[in-house]
Amino acid sequence: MSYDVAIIGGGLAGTAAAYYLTGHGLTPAVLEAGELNAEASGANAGSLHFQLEHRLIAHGDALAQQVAAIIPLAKRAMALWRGLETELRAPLDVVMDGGLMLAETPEDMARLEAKQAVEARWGLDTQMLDQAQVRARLPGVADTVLGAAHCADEGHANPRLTTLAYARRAAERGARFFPHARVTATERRAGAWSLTLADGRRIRARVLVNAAGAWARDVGQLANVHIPIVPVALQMTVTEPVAPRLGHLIQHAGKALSMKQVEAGNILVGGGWPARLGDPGRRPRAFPRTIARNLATACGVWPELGRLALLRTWTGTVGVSTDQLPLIGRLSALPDYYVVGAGSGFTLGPAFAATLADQIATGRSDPQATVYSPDRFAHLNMFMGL
Amino acid sequence: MPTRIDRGVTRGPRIALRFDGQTVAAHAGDSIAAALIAAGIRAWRVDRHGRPRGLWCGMGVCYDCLVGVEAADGTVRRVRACTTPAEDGMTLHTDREASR
Repeated sequence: MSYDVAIIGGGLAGTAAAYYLTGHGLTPAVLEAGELNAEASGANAGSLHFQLEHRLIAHGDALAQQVAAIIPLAKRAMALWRGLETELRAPLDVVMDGGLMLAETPEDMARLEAKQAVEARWGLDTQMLDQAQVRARLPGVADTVLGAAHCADEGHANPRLTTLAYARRAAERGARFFPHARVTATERRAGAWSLTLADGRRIRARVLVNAAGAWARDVGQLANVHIPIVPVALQMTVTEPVAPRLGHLIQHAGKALSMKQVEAGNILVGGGWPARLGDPGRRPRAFPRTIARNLATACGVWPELGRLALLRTWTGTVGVSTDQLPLIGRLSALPDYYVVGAGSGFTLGPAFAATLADQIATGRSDPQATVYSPDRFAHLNMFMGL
Repeated sequence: MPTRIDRGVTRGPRIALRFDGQTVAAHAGDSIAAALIAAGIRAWRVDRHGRPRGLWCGMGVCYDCLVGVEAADGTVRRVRACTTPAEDGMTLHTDREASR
């Protein structure tokens, strides 16, 4: 079978890319080794976070300036999420009632102020709140919280619904989905990509997209290129359902933390705490010590959490690039080979996918998108290629 | 009204619970969920949208079957009806925590 674009990976990035490509009149095929949405795209905690994250601002101002290049993508994602339930004609539990990044020390406050200045320069609207303003927005907040940065567009959505809604609409518009289709070879033949599946089927496509997330490196090696995405095992914990009491997405300026109350009333706590990468092909194992530290961080800023019963902790494997910025675009080492993914892939996933689809359809890259180009790692592929 | 299987089954002594003011007859060894269902009660929680909830997975995973257990001092603790044994004299309440 022959398609315009073959996408390896049926997570949010690959599935949404298929949807946006159909909007450009192209016919994509999505090849997924397991089930759609089965890994990080469905296992993440569903934060919609647009402020520069703790992990991005923790290493000093120079790096914060560099990672601020992510803000145009964040703004595109914000606009897409606002309209996504309407566009996909599906409930996605999108709530964008605002997010708070809390500060507990003068250093945290200074970091938030520096962050806000960078965000303002890039046109992302965030406000600094003092202690009283935080208390008004977050009843029960601990006395140790000195202030916060507020972003009115932050919130959360349901990762169990989003990818599948994109897949349904993409399929209606002509995209083909192949679950349980592990790709074992990607070769250039007669000016196109030829993919071999584990069951022997062959798929031809003009363009190949590597959207394999934590497995992007392995998929890249099928075409003899290095993709600098490493797998990271994360874990999240969920409480019993309770009455609405947490109206904001909560993050922390100096510690890994995300906390929000979801549609059903449960409170999800995470924020980038490591699970243990287990045996290949298996889910990572939960790590009791980091569960305890994650919960202690959360209870430290919002003690009410300590009175709730925990239901469970789960893990997922996410792909993170070696410089923390996303990879979106064409790889110059190979003809018509694109990469999409890496880092904050739920929040930014719709924007990753729309940006990629624009590039494939037009053959051009928006000048603002050049910072996400995988060619910033072109040196890794000096001796690679087909 | 469900009927219990009685033939060829040895059950614990008869006990009685209270559920929202109603007396529920059960046997020692029943889970709370088994006792309620045997009494024809299928819902004992109200979700965030006011919908009735009861036994779903039946094995302790989904937490749909949360029910309130009143202690001697009047405080109410939420437990999973499916994994919590019924006790004689237990006072149970429909859980409305998520709907408030």
